[in-house]
Amino acid sequence: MNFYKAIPVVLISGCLLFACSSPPPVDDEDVMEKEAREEKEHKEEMSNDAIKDIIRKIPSPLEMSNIVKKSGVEFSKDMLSDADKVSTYSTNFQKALSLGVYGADLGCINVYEKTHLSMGYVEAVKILSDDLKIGQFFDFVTLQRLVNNTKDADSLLYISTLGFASMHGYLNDRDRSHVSILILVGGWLESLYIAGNITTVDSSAGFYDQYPELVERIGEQKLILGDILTLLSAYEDLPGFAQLVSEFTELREIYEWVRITYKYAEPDLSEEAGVLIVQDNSEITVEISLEHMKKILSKVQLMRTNIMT
Amino acid sequence: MRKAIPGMNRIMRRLLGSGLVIVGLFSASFNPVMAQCDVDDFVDACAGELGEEYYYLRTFDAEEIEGSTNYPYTGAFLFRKGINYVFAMCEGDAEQGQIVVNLYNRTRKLVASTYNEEAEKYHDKMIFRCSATGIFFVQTLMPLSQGNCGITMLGFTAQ
Repeated sequence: MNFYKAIPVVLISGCLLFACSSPPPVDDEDVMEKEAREEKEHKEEMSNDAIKDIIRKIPSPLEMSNIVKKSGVEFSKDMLSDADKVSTYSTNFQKALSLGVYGADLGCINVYEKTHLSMGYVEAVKILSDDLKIGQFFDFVTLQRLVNNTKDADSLLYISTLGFASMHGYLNDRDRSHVSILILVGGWLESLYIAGNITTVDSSAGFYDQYPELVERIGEQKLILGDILTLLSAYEDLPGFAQLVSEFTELREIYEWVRITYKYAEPDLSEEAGVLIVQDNSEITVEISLEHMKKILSKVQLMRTNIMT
Repeated sequence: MRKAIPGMNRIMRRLLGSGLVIVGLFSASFNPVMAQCDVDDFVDACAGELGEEYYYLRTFDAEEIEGSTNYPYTGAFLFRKGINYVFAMCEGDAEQGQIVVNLYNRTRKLVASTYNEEAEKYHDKMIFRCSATGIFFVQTLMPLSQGNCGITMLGFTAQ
């Protein structure tokens, strides 16, 4: 038996062992089973592995917040959604999208080390995740304690990111990927809103000149937009998804005007203190006009408003 | 002709050479070390390996690798220009085999590997300074030796 032929045997054996050793978590049967059944009934032909693969590609909103901060954009509460509105969301569709939005806001607050503003967002995440029966992945006692200390921004970020990662894994393993997708989409939209620093779209001409690197980051979202649409389209028959697909289709049409070119170059490898350093030398060029950036930001603002009201 | 996977031959040679692959797996249910191999045990310790300036992004754990329909596990990710990504590999017992991370670009061209086959050297940390946003494939090879387990952790910071 050659090495590669041995792999399936190893894998199957390993899977059996791990499956036997993992205790099943406690679920709320009403919500969980209903959502899983609906997902099975309405999901278009797309394997769970394919869905998971696409879900992984959606970048974390934290990255965008970090880029925004490093670009020199001052923090403003106007960047964020109103956490007090959390009680107004009634459907699981709205709750999942909003959980993504508030999760991105919580990340942004702590990237900017404004930990004292976190409390309302931690509470919003708790309320929404409890309602969606996924609150068990967040250590709220510790999170609420960390809110009171600015020095604990990193710990707060770490614990909340771990919670979101575990939650997505859990949802995807239990036929509730559509909930996971909504949370990711909410976070993605909010990160775009934060990157655009949208207070009014009319003032975005100054933004366009002052922060070309952020304009580029906004433009390159074109690379992931098709994947997001693919995911949403797979669940188009579920309540709320058709409208979201329609909104994202319109956004993609605007993005068609963004031109992206890529030039590959070999990376440089080196070693620093035992760490392998890989310096990417490839180049990407993102061409986006002021007019189309305004249209994108305007559409993002509208979509976010629709989610949050 | 099948393409060689960096680190794969080395790992498999080590595993098969030691004669522990099948025997090890079938006896694992009786092996308290393997039975108790919980990747959660590695998470907090490994987070410390990311470095102070890095934010935690995600974990590639043994369960995910073994549960994948395609071995070795490969996942696609969008890496962004202007971000430094750090991969930290944490094993229970490096003597029994070390984790290898291979990074491929969107055309599946190998960008870097934490295992240098020529020098037979492993790195337990890799920093990727991304200069062009795009899809990258991350491949994590986990030795399946008896009683060993570990995780790879991904973090990031803006340049």
